[in-house]
Amino acid sequence: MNCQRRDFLKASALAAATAVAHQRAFGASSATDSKQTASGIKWDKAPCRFCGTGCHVQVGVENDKVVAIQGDQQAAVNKGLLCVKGYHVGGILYGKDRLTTPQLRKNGKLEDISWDEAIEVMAKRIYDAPERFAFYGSGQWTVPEGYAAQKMIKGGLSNNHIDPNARLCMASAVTGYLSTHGVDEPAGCYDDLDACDVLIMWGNNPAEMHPVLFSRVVDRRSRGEEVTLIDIGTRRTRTTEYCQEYLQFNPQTDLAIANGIAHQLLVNDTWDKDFVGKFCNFRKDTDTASLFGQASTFEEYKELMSEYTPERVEELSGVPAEKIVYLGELFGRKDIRITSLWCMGVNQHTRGTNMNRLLHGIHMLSGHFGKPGDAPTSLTGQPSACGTAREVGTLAHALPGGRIVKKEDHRRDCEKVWNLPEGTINPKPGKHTVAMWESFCKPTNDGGDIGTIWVQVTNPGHTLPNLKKLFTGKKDLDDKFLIVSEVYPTATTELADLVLPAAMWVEKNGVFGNSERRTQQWFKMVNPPGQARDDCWMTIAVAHKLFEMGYPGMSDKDGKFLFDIKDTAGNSVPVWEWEHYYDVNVDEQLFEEYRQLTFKKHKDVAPYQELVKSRGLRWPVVQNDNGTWSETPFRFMEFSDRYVEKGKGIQFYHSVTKDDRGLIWFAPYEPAAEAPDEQYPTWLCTGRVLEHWHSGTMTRRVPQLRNAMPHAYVEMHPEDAAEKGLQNGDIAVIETRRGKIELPVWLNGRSKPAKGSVFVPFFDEQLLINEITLGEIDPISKEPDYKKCAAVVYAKASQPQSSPAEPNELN
Amino acid sequence: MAPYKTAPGKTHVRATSIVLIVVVTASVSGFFMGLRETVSDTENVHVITTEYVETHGTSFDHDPSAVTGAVTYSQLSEVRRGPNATWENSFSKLNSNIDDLPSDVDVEAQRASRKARRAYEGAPPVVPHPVVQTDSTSCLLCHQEATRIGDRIAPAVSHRAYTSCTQCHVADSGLPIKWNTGRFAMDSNSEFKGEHTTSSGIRAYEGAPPTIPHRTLMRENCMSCHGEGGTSAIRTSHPDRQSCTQCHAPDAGYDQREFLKTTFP
Repeated sequence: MNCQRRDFLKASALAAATAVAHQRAFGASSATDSKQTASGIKWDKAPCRFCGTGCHVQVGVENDKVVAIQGDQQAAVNKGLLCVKGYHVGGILYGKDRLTTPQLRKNGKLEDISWDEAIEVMAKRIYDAPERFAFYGSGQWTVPEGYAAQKMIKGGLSNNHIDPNARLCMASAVTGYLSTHGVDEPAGCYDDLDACDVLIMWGNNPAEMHPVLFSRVVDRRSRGEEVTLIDIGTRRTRTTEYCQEYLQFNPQTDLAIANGIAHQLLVNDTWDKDFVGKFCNFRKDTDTASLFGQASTFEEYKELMSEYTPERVEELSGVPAEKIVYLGELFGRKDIRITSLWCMGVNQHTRGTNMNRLLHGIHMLSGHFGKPGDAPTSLTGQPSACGTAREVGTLAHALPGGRIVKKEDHRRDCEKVWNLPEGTINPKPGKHTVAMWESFCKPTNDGGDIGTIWVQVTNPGHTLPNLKKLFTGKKDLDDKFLIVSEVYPTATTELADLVLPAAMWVEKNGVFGNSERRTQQWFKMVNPPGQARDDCWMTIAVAHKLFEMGYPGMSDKDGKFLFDIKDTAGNSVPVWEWEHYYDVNVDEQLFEEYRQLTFKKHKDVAPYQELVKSRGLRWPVVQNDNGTWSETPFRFMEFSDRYVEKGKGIQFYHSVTKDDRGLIWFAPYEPAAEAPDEQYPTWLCTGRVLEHWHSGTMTRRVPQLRNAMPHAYVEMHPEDAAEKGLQNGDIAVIETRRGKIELPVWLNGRSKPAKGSVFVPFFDEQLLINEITLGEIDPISKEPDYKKCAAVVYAKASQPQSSPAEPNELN
Repeated sequence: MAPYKTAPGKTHVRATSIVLIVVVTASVSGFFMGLRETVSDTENVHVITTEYVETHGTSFDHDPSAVTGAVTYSQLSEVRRGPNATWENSFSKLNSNIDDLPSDVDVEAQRASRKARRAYEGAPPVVPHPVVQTDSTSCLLCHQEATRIGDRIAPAVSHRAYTSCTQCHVADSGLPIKWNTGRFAMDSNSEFKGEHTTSSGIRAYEGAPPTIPHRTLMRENCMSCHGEGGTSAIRTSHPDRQSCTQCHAPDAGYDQREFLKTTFP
């Protein structure tokens, strides 16, 4: 990018903006939400259905249909701006093939049944073998949905086999936070983006994946601010074009780069002795990888880091030594504020926990922590991976509010709130995602302990890695039963035994929690089509059926139903009957019950009615003396977090070492699980694109998004393509040890992979790249690596126009 | 090669000279023959020169028998045809003739094409041409101020300056590679009916300034659509006036300010 051209365009943009400013329509603000306007459209607020940014939208409803969307100008997250998915989020409800009736597979074919029959089938299945039942949930679950599932299976069935798809995306970030801060979720918030001088992207592409957050930073330049953007990645993306520096590294060597920076801080003696002396301890791993490792010292840390000289890092990563020195100098400066951003590149990594630890480590070692703009910020992918999966603890080892099943006092807390006899909750962690599906796809007499899985709000048949091992193997196992609550036919419903039509987004009440700890609420605005019903209702209905059948776990200590929802007079409402589900706000009651469990680890969420009034509130939300509530933008920092004791400055009040200190970890560079070799010489990386959300079930049914990105492709370096005889549009075959797939080639398109690597987006249902991805997991977080495996790429022999060779279509 | 011998060489020399003379004569006469215009050349062909343009106008774009005559570079812009007919050597020339667009436009056709680009009133329009996939800086080359290319106008950006255009504006047909896209069974038949308002602003009395019949979020630059570089059907009659909202008030039926409530501190 020519610097002069950029300056010119920047100046022109500034000029245009100034010219525009004097023609601006000025507006004051007044009045209430959800007002009927003269044109017949009723507007109400909601968080966007898509990514972890958590933008707020205004949803326009007319005649029980969503007809328009606007960015919510009052929302602090996005201030009226959205991205292309957000602008078209209204259309996701209206694909023609929306599921509207429950269906049971009889003789290989899905046939319509009634809801009563469906609930009975499920309850019976669970009643017969409760320990073989598992719940596969989602970071797109609303908080009440996740809480209901959690209570039903952990409290009602004493079964811990519940895990969310967030295991595949954020688990390494969670273990990273737990092992450094002692408690999950970021200390900072999006305000850091407004205050940083340097923004470093570590293997992520926020221009496409968190566009509103990214433009929040780059738009600062059009106001004349100077922000330095550095892209540390394995391929050039849209993000790279906005950056001053692009440092291309060999896959997996991000570990070495982080260590290289730490090494520079130590060698230059620019590490922040004051900060480290007051607020940090050192840590290293035990011989077998563990979450909390063992104590270490500064001397040991320095000794272990001494190997990572700039030359050694260049040798491993390919990043020039002077760039490592440059980064070291940058972190060594005290006059600038540095924010690091990362997402799937760091998390979907066989050493993801370590990489998270190292990123927190270099920020704490250099003192770039604890002030607005100085932040190691893990960005969340899903809209409520934080709010539901992490905070409600819908993981195989966890309980609500940051608790874990292993600890007795944690179990007692939940049993108390749930009014269950002591000892109800099982202390043994259940199966995490990969183990759950692996077990489900094995015959029962061969270690296949899981016999029934209920999937809600996610698409594992598309998004699990190494699909043949973790999903499609189920096809041949007759005694396995897959229940899927879904909105559209997907790769998962292809193998489902029971399909339940679900209500979506504004067709139900909901609460999400975004990347910056902001819990946000919305009300139901339109009715779901046909017989589609809320996922939360389904969970309660099944629980009640079990209660009717006499299953002891579904009644609490006093013999009442586990989900006892009351009206304002204090009478129980039969919410398991759909006609009565919206007689009261079930969401509110479940949320308020969950809220009681959030105080222990200072993750206090706001009361539901406060969330109704606001565009989300960042926890911990504390009450002021005058009765109003205040959110906490920055945790552990005295100037913002009221739980920090006076005079402490920074206090990690859930410190692993119980001394209010955070932990700086050493972790070594270790090679990838499956690196390229003679037979498979190319790196295969997978990822996302701007236009499509995950498996595309919603976005590919919106014409504007579908036409902008109709199908998947493979991107590679033009020289590699030339060697293989591939041109733009030609069909390439990508083969790994797990299978092969054919994809069209796109050269010099949206991203530019390095030589010797290819990139494939995973949104396309007909071109399921996950059939051939690896699925090796991080030993601590159990999160699989989707970014690295070994493949071989070659041209397909003939170019199909009407070729019968179908590209991996299911069925 | 055998050394040059005089006796048999003489025969060689003579043969060579004869061949040369024949070839040269043929070439020279052929050259002069070719310079002549034959009858068939001139009969059915329109040679486009500047004189032709002066007499016949520029309506020869789709005339297959039109042949561009060789002209000087300075006259070239007048005789260009086909896809390059609207090429200008200087960027400022693209903007200078915006006013010349015909005023008798089909309003309904304009409304329809506008509606086709938007999922609903207020949605970011899709881009009706291929985009640079990697960055957004090239967008401003045409859209910073309105630019005219042939009969089409690339309107100026209607909202305040954002840096990442392609975050909201995606191409209407994205991937440049085509691979049996029609084979894919995924149902994208959407039943989403967006709200599209097509009314004119309400006037309190005849001659009153009409109210703004649309939302103004992302449409702060009125001149983007209503100025000289805008959609001709709704051009303002008074472009010299710069403070639009002094007279044109937002319409309560559409304005979003109703639910801008001051929230939580």
